[in-house]
Amino acid sequence: MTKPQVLISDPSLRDGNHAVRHQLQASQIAVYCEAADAAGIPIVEVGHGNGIGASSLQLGESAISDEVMLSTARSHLKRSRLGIHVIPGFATIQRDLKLAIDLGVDVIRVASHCTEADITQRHIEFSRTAGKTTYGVLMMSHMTSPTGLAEEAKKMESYGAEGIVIMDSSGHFLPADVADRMKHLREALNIPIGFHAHNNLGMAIANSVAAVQEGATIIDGTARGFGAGAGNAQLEVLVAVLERMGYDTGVDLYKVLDAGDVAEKSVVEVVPTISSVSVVSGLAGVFSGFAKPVARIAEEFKVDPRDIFFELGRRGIIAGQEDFIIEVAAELAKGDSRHKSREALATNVIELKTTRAGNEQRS
Amino acid sequence: MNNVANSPLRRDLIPLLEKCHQNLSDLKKAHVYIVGGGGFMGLWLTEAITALNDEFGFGSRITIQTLSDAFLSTYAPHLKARQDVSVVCCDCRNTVVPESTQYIFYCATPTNPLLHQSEPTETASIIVDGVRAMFDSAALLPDLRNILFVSSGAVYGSQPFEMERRAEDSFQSFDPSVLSNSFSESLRFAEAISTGYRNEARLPVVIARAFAFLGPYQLPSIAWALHNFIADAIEGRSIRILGDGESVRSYLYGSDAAVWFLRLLVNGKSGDVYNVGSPEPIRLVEVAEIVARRFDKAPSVTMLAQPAHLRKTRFVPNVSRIQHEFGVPLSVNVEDAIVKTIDWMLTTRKCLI
Repeated sequence: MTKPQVLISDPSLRDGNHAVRHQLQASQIAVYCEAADAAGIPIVEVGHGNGIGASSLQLGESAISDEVMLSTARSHLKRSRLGIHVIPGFATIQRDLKLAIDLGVDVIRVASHCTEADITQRHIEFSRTAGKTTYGVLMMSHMTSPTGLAEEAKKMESYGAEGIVIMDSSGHFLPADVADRMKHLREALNIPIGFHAHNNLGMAIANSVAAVQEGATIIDGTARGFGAGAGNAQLEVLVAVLERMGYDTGVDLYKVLDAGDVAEKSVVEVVPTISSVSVVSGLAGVFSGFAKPVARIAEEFKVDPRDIFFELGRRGIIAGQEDFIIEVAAELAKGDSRHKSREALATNVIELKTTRAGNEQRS
Repeated sequence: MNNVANSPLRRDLIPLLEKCHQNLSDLKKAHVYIVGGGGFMGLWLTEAITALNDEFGFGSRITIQTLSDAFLSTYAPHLKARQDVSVVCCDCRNTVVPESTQYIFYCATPTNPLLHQSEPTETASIIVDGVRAMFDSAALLPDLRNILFVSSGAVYGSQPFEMERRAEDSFQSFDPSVLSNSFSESLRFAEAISTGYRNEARLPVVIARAFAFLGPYQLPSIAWALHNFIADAIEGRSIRILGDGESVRSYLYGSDAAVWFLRLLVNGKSGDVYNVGSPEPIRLVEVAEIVARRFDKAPSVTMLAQPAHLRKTRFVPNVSRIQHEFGVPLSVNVEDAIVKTIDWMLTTRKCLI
């Protein structure tokens, strides 16, 4: 009897770019791509942390251009397919998508905030028309209900997405949350579904397992968990666990372990750990990629970064709204928001969920 | 005129019309108003009526009402240029049918699944408000003979895979609180409205529940599986099938569909409902193989990963009612239909480059 298959997608060189302030170098991309390719990792995703076209003053400038990143990766991937993360708005069709396709990208994952699938229509259509494997990605998926998530995913399916991946961008989910969402997606869609974990609450592998058990067949994992905030599901562990569960990933276990070593030696500045700020980020439901700028700005304004996270969570701030970090820090420094965020800290999840429900009604 | 007479579309239509033009004699000198006529159904119906005019001296007039005439101008300029065809650009919700009209063919239902998902309230408005506007206007006509309202097989709900063909009386319920059901729910309501107008305003209304069609006036960019296959093949790529290719569809070719619709428009009895589509099932993997064979350098056919939750689907009508009552033809088999469609797409593409 053939084993059920899970498609592994590895965004170490994209999500990991968050962890190094988007400073990955071409030499690091080359060495990791060679290792990943040798391990038979099906998809290797490369780019700025927020995807192609996102290098900017607000989000952080990449050390090297998208063109250099993608062409370097392309020349070092023989078996693995080259993937990119695309957020419409940051990435334009004319400037970024066409370039990426010309450079030989195979897999295009078009992403939006979990309630804004509508903005992905043109990019998904363009990618499909260009004949590229095209997935839809819903980020910050804890910020809407399972039903809402399924409705947005259905839109992406209607635009031509060939699979839908939901991202637990702030590492907020527990396994039961993931299972519930996967069940809704499975019932609504007729295309493969997938999951991208963050490890803020130490649940990345458990959540990925819950996703697979509820029918997900596309799972993201990064070498040593190299990703924003507390990192992602650790790829080497993920492959081992899935193998133990009886799934076929097509990935060579020894070689993916080697790839992890290569990454630790040559790519990962600091192996992700679950810092106190990451725990708060996960509880507050704030994008893991905020960890670095929050730490820096907290230091600058002499405020507790955990207060910043809870206040950002209370306001429902999402990726792309990085400028709010300074606003919140400034208010905290003046004492304006301290009371509210302390309250949020005390009652954290309950208050946050209430606020988010309100935001959802307005969105 | 010679070009039109020799066109592949006309060649497909003439043998069919030769067999049934006498049944359509009430159409002579009549004015047919087509709401939503700028797409596949409306243009094929116009092709058929203009063929009746040219070949059988019908002397009918056609008005095509369409939101935009861009598609018509690009892909059917020969129809737009004709004396017996006029074009009105207008949202179906603002329909005003002229007094001279005898027959109304209503095919303004938006078929793009993208619109259904992204703008469900707009979709519902187009379907429901559009049909109401048409009926309100039709109620004022002094010499109206028949209205054919083209609904969809989607009103039945998802077809169980084990149900070979879907008959007109085989309704299933679906959950209206599920967003993806809003299209079907709106169409059901539109059918209910048409029943209301038939009763209250004594309007003559026939309902056609459309299934899947194929032929010229469809572009490879349509977001349906077959058209994705054709688009892949035209671009020289591997044809990709989601799942195992065991889902089942059927396709009625444009010339057959035009004649079926014409028979219902002219000969259908008010209050009657008919499925319109091909009863011949075909698996998607077979469809992909037919598409691949059409190309000299046949593209490969790739099955994408099939998670356990992917459901095999079926969308095939039982058309024994319309076949029994009208003896409508099935003159083009699915393989020929696919080839004809690809040829039209390739020819059109060359002309437009």
